[in-house]
Amino acid sequence: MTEDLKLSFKGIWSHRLRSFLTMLGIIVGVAAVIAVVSTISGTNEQIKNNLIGDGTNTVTIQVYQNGWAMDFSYGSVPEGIPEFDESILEEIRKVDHVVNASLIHRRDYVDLYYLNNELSGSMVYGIDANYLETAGYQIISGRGFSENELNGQKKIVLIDETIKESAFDGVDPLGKTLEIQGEPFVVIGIVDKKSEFEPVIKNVQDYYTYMGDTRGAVYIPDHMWPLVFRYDEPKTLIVKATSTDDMAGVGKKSEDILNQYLHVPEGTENAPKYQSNNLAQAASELQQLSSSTNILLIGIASISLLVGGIGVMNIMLVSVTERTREIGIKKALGARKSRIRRQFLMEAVILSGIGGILGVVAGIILAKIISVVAMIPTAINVPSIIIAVVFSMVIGIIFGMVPSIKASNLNPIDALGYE
Amino acid sequence: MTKKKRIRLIIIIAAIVVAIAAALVLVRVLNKNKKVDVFPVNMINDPYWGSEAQYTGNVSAGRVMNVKLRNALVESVPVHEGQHVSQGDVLLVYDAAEYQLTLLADEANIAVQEARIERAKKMARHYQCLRPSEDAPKPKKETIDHGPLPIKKELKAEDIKKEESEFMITPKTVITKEFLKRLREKGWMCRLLLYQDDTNFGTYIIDGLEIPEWVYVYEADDEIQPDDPTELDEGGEEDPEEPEEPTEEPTEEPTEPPTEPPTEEPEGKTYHKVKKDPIQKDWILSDILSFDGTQGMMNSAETAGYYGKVTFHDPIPYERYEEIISYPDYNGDPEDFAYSRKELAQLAARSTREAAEAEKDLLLARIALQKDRLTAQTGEVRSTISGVVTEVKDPHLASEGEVVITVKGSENYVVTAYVAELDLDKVQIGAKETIYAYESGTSCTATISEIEGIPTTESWYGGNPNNSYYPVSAIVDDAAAEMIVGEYCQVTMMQEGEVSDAIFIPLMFVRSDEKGHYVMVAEGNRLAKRYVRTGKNIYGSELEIRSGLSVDDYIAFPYGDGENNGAPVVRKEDLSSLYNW
Repeated sequence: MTEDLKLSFKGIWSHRLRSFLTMLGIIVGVAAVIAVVSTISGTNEQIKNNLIGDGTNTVTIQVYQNGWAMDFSYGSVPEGIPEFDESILEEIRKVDHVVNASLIHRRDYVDLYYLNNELSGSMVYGIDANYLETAGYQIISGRGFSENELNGQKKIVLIDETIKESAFDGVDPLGKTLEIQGEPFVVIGIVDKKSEFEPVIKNVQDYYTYMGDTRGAVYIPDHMWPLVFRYDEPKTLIVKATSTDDMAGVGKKSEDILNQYLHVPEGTENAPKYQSNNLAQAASELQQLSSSTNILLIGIASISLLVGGIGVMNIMLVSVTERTREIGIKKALGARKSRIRRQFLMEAVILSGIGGILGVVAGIILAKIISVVAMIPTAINVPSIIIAVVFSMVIGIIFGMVPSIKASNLNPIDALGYE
Repeated sequence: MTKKKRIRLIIIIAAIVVAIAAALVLVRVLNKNKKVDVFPVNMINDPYWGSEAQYTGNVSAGRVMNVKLRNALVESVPVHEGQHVSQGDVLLVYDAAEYQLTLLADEANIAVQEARIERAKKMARHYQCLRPSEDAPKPKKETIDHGPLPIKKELKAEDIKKEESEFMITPKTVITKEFLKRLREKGWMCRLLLYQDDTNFGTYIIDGLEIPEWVYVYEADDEIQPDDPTELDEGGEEDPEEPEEPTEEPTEEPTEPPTEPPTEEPEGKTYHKVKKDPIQKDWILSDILSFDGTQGMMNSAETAGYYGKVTFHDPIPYERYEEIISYPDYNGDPEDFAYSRKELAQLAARSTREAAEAEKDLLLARIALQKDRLTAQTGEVRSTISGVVTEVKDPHLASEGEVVITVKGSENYVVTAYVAELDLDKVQIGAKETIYAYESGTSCTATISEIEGIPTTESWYGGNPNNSYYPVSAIVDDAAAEMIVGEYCQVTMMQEGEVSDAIFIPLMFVRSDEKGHYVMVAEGNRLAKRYVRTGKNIYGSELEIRSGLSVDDYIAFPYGDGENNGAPVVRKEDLSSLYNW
């Protein structure tokens, strides 16, 4: 075996240029596959990051009807949805991979004024003690709600940075009064997202896809919700998962828990039910849009790998012809067919294996160049590297098979007489 | 490896590395210098959301009073042209009983305005609730496999089951002689659709009636099979079981014998004209037909013995896989996803404006009703100003709405605006305001002359419902300004040292960093980062720029290429390249 290896390296080294040119086919093929796969991985990673990159790993579970989230700003509240309280949160927190959970109310369009300034299109949230931590917010100025305030009747409000800039124009908002649906609320704190994440945006379409909600929001104690709005509005559940990969599972389990408490008569058509808004799934759907193009690209890159393999076979056939006399002598000295076959097969595998390794290096460099030149994100995909190297060696075995069999089947007398 | 070779190798590797690095640097420089489209701010500015110091008012009094004819019987006109009248003097007297009818018209007008308001508000809410096109569900692509074509590899006698049959075959399909004989026996017909590589290129029609029972052929002595029942020696005895002539079609000689039968060959063979069944073997149409991928061809020299009619047409490939794009079911508002987020914000704003205008009309309608109620009590129309009657028309000859009496006074017009309590600190007696009168189209300035201490009892749309609104009167500066008493106007307070130049641009044009909000603006021919002071965020769609940007500037979409500070710019005069229209 060692001797076969030595002989193979010797054979390759003795025709350095020819061997290199043969390897070049494999190098180009492997490099193309790695560059294409890296580009696809990079783009998919970016889509995922853009949608769920802020790292809060929160899943929103709210009431849906006919496949769409219900908006209680207008229209009546459907029957059969119970008022959830802290006990349901305890149940949700027992689900695997759940870090925290919160129950909130939310309205999208409300009359919100600071003095005479209308804060058009701002959102109002009724929050509990867990919301800020669960949804990834922090108090950056002032203070949050105390336990007494969360359970009491105090008209106090937290605002976000957008509301601060929109309404107060440089004035310190703390202690000022906002009017929500005509009710006065005193600002006690300003909140902001903990993460400063900003998605990668290249054009207007990306902006609208990834930028999320850019409206301002104010937060009042959920206990105060019925004072401003209605007492029987269904709540929305916010769940924080341990990791991005757990978001889908956590969302599904949480919606199942909530749905088992619904009192909707069986067989009711278009009955409302809780459903999770899974950003990871949305990212996957966006990635799927380009999957057919990606498969095509990988296919095209693989063809060049195949062509490289044919090059290996061609050179090995030439090598067999050149070394006919050598084969004849070996056979005359008693070398078995399997020995001859193994020698040539080994040479083909080494040739394509080295080509594969060099191709990996070239592929990584190519991916980086594509990333810089075309401004496309790339991510080196380790499984694809392993597959490409193994595949190139398999190609060496497959395409080395014919020449090695040809060599092993040579008649020693004919071989010795070959000029 | 020799030292020389080693040095050469090192030089080559170094050259490659340097070349790659240089290429990367070049690409970066080229990217940096890539031209960026910039768009005029005046095109993307939506000033509606504009100044807080803007109010609505109406021309409450003025130099000219026009008395328009109402739909009621005029009893008398107690004034004549050139007559001096004082404020409160009677100008026209209607029949008081009949004038009551105008009150009905006024009430109807109020109802119309209320309906307008309700509808406009409903539409505004509707647009706010619609889902933008950016959130539209993505279509799903599905590929349907219709399966392989049922192409026959062999046609057997049992395949014929009815008078007319149709089969898909390739030119390589074996058409068995049993199949052909059964066709002939029954006198039935079959259509063979010709396919190659799943592409239909023609049809071969075999009519059983056209396949003869026998044909004449010449055969040498030694080729004649004596026991072949279908063969008949011309001069020999006929098989008693065979008909003398074929009874079925063709009744005539089915095939003419060769014109010059070689009765004797040089080798000495003798040939005989014999009757023979033409179906001696299976048919394979590729012997006579071919298809080159674009059209079918027939080798006429080799058609003997193949009884059928072939027609070729343009190749029709079989679409085995069909791609179907389906949209998820959606039972929401039919108008959902019809508009972009920006369009919805604009539509909501337009409806809000309509509601505001209807509110103003409603106010005017209520004022008209109040005036008409006063007039209806006595039937008298009194002068609101002191001056000279300049025109008197015969009311019996005038039509409804026509001005019948004009009084010109010595005072300038007075405009009354309604200012929210929280803005009262922004107005003071003697301050200037600009007026735009909607009906007459007059633009002018006015000086505030009176701020009333009691708020109006009228509800006023467009502001905080908890606010009270105070009438603020201003005298129009230009004595020659032409306005209409009662028409409503837009009133903007002019505050010293502050010019109301708020700009509202889509939020996507503004980015933030640790220093604040900025836009990428064209400065000369290069793109530059400029920090701006922002204000109101409207529906998460528009952002007020309070300073740092003017309507004469050109700005870039500040993401992608538009991030490049110092990049050369291309000034665009429309937004098509931004939205890829």
